[in-house]
Parts: sequence; C-alpha cells; structure tokens
Amino acid sequence: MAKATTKTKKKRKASLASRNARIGFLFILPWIIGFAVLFLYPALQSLKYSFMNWDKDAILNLKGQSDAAFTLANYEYALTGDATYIRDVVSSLGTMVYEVPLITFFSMFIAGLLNQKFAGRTIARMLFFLPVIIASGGIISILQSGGMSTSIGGEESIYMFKTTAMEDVLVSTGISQDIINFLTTTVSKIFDITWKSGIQILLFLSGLQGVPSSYYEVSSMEGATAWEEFWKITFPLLSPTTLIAVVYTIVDSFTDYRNVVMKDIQTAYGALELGRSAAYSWIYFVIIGIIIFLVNKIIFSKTVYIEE
Amino acid sequence: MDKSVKERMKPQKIKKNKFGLQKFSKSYVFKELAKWAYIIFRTFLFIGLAYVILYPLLTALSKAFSEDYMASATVEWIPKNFGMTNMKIAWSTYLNMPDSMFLSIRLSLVAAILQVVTSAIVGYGFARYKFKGRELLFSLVILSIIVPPQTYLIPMYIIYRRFHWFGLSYLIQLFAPNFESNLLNTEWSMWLPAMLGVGLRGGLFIYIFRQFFRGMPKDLEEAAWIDGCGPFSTFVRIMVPNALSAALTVFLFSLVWHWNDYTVAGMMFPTADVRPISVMLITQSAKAANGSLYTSLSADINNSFILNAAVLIVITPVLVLFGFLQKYFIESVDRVGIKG
Repeated sequence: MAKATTKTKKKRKASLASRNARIGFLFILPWIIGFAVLFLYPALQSLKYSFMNWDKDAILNLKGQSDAAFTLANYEYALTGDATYIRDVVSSLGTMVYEVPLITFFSMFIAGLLNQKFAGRTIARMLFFLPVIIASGGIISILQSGGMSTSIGGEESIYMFKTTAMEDVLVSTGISQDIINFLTTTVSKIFDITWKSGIQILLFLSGLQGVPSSYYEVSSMEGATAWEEFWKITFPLLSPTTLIAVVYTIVDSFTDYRNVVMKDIQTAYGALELGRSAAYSWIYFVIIGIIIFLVNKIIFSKTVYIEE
Repeated sequence: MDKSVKERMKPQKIKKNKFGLQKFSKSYVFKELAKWAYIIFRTFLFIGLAYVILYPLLTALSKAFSEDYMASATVEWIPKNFGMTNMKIAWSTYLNMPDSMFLSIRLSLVAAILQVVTSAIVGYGFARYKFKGRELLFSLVILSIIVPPQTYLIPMYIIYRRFHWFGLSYLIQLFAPNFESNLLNTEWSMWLPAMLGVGLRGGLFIYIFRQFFRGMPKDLEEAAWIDGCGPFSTFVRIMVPNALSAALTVFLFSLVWHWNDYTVAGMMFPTADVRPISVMLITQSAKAANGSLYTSLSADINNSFILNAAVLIVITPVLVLFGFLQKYFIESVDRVGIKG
C-alpha cells in the first residue's frame, strides 16, 4: 500500500515537472519561432552568401541563387585583395582597445559621483541621460561635426573640443611626443567618451545601489579611507556590472554608425557585392566574438558576487 | 561621580586665537578644506561635462534659427537674423514631414508595445520554468544581443521581399498563384521581429525581464496556484501587475531606440517616399558626407545649417517625452536593477 502511494507520488512529481517544462516551453515559444525564422535562418543565409559568388543581374532581378558553387573568393578578397578592409579592422580594434577602458572607468567614476547626495543631483542625472535618449550614432555624428561633411571639414571636425593650448604647454615641458599625443587625444575625445557612456553610467548607477550600505558603515568604523573603500569594496562588488558594461561598450562600438568596418560592409552592399559584404561582416564578427569571449573569461574569473 | 566625568560634563571653553576667532584643530581644518575642495572639484567637473553635452545641442539650436548661412565671424551663439528658412527646408525637403514623423510614431509605438508584451512573456518563461535546454536557449538570447544586425540584414531583406508567413503564403498561393507578400517599406518589417522577441535589442529586453522576474518572491505565484489559478492566468493576473516598472523601462527604451534606429529601418524602407524620420535625416547627411552633392564650402555650410535644423526636428519629440517622463526614465533603471 505504502509502496503504491510513493510510486504514484513519484509519477505525479515527474508529470508535474514535464508539465512545467511544457508550459515553460509555451512561454518562450514566440521567441523560439522568431529566433529561428528571423535570426538564425538569415544569419546562416548570410554565412552561405559569404561563400557564394554573386551574379549582380540575379540580385537586380530578385532571383535566388541557390545553385551557386562554394567559393572562398570573398574571404580571399577581403584578406588580400581589398586595400582598406584589413586596415579598417585594425584601426577599429585599436580605437576599441583604447576607448573601452576609458569609457568604463569614466562611467564608473561619474556614476559614483551621481550616486552621492548633493544639490542639483536631479539635474545632473538628467544631463547624463541625454546621450541615452539621443543614442543614435547618425545624429551624434551630425551634432559632432556641426553638420559639416567630413570630406570638406576633414580630420579636424572629428574632434569637437580640440586642445591646442594644452599641447603647446606640454611640448614646452619636454615630455615625449607619444605621451603628449595620448594625453591630447584623450582630452580631445572627451566628447566621444561622454556621449558614449550614457547606458554604462546607468548600469553602474543601478549596480552601486545594489552594494549594501552596511559594508561602508563597517569600513568607515574601521577607519578605511575613501580610496580604500573604493578599491576594497565598491570595485569588487561592481565587477558583475563592469562585465556587462565592458561587453556592452564593445558591442556598441562594433555596431556604431561611425565604425569604419561597418561603412566598408555598407559600401560593399551598396555596390551589390553581397558575398563580399557578408564575408566582411563575418570576419569582423568572429574577431569581436573572440574578444568578447576573452574579456568575459578574464573579468569573470575575478568577479565577486554578493550572496543573496 | 568621579572627577574625570565631572570634568567632561563641564561646558567646554571655546579656544580663541589672537584675533578672537574660534580656534580649530589642525586635522579638522584639513578635513573641512578637503571637503570643500572636493565639492568645488565636483561642481566644476559637472559644469564642464554639462558644457560638453549641451554644446552641440545649443549650437544646433543657434544654427537652425539663423537666417544668414555664411555666418559672420562675430556671430557665435545668437544669430544676427532669426528666421525659419532652415527649418522650412529641413521640414519639407529633407525630412518629408509630417508623414515621416507619423510613420515613425506608428512604427516605434506599436513596436515598443509588442516588444514589452513578448519580452515579458519570454522573460517569465526563462525565469520561472525549468525545461531541457533552458540554459542553452538563454545563451542564444545573449548571442542575439551580441551579433550585430548588419551581419544578417541582407538575407532579412530578401526574406521580407517575399515573405512566406511561416509557410502560410504557400497555402494561399494554391488558390491565388500570384499572391506575394512584400514586407519591405511596410511597418511589418519592424513589427514582426518585435512581436517575436527578436526586434531591436530584443535579447536585452528579454534579459531585463528575466532578471526582474527572478528577483520577485515565489510566494505570490504559489499562493495563486494553490487557489487554482492556471499558469497563464497567474502570469497575467499576478505577475504582470507587479512588473509594471520593468515594463515601463523596456517600453521607454524600446520607443527611443526605435525612433533613433537607422541601421535596420534604413534597410527595410529602401524605396518608399515616406521613410522613418531618422532614416530621412541620416540619408541626407550621408549624401553630404559622400561629397557628391556639395562640392563647394558655402554649399556645405548651407547644408550644415539645414541639417542642424533637421536634427532638432528629429530629437524634439524624444526630448519632450523625456521632459515629461524623466522621473520614470531615471527611476525605472534603479527599480529594475539591471545586474549581472
């Protein structure tokens, strides 16, 4: 008798679990359909395109080209034939390596300031929200260049706040030119950094609010300085947020309107070189994917979580 | 009471220096000075950054309403002659207003609502139900955040050109052989992915809802189940009313991002006369950047004034929305708590 009841109980438990699984599956069903039809399928298609030799007439007449032979010509062209592609990839990666840490620390710093209580905090928060609202690369680049076309405005128009006075002072002190260049471009890039940090500041703000205030109370009782508090409490406890912010920054710079590689992809597409355009984007995506994976590994290994 | 305590209870005599002013200890003075230096530093920093953020917007404002294109060297902020010429050209020629704005409003409003609904449902499924392959599927959600739309936009274009409605159109073609469904240049090219949770940054919204639902106590649902509430009515009656703050965040962000979107919308509205407003704007600015249209400096400057006016027109609705809802915008992020 007792045996029988445990058996039915087990059965019921199993059926409950499978019922739950089915219900859960139903909940995510819309996404599964969307992912399969509107993400996975086109992504695989684009991978296929990158291995195909496209006939421009077929594209113009909207005929499919399912019978095209497998070819590596597009990748070969991207890596050896195209004069600008590799250079653009390297330069965009260079900007990324330089900007991601800057943006991360800048937004962490600003979030730390905005988290304090002071007069005018609401206004300050509103200000830093503006870049989130106007978070469109196209509009920002118009605002930055003042609407002047880069072909005439030239390189200068990229820097909205160029600091020539600072450069002069530094040169007269005799510091090496490389350091001066780094410093001046960093200061000149204040526009870019500020406008690209919107979401990251929000992330850090909400991360800071998750740090229990009791930790700070204890540390101040023990006589820790603000500097120690930051590095021993705030920074480690913000590490999950830092991870998200870094990945977000990388993805954002990757999809940015002003990204030179994205322009290459668009140009190739505009010239109806579909295969080439697809190959460009896949090479770039694989590189970024590896970078994100590595960053994830490095930061993840040092991430501290608050026990809930 | 012993002597030392009595001593301490006596009112302390304030030490005065030779000028008759109160004398503070050195460490106290140092601390006060540091505090004030910090406050001054913070204030200056914020003023400086406020300048960086507001400067382009203010110049845009100044340029948009200035009548003389070739600005004289003495004019920096306040234009010599005010006028609406730039605005008028931007309004009708550059942006094709007001049709493009109506299209943008329709597009982003419906897409935002659809994204909220779908990502809430999907996020709830990921947060509360265990099933085989859940972790794998969720990692695919993360993947969809990381893969940029540019990678798969071209096949999307071709899919939308002849959309089969998941095989339904084949069925219709049995009766009407010429039936063809072209989603390009229609709002459906944005609504459909939004409806299925793979719209603009759809993965991120699913992530936000999942985190939110995971943080909610399970007691409420359990009570509802015991009272005989089914899983779907539990979701609608118990979870949704509690998730309004998360829904508002997702809605606002989705709205703003759809409004600003150029990459996807530019691809999906290739030939229409009326294109979403941000697409109209970027197309105009790209024309100038290619140098094909404006070869002389004066033409370029002229164009830059009109572009600034156009930027103002595009961002004004979003700024107004932000002005009214800024409290919700700012607080919503705190409340939802996007955390790792």
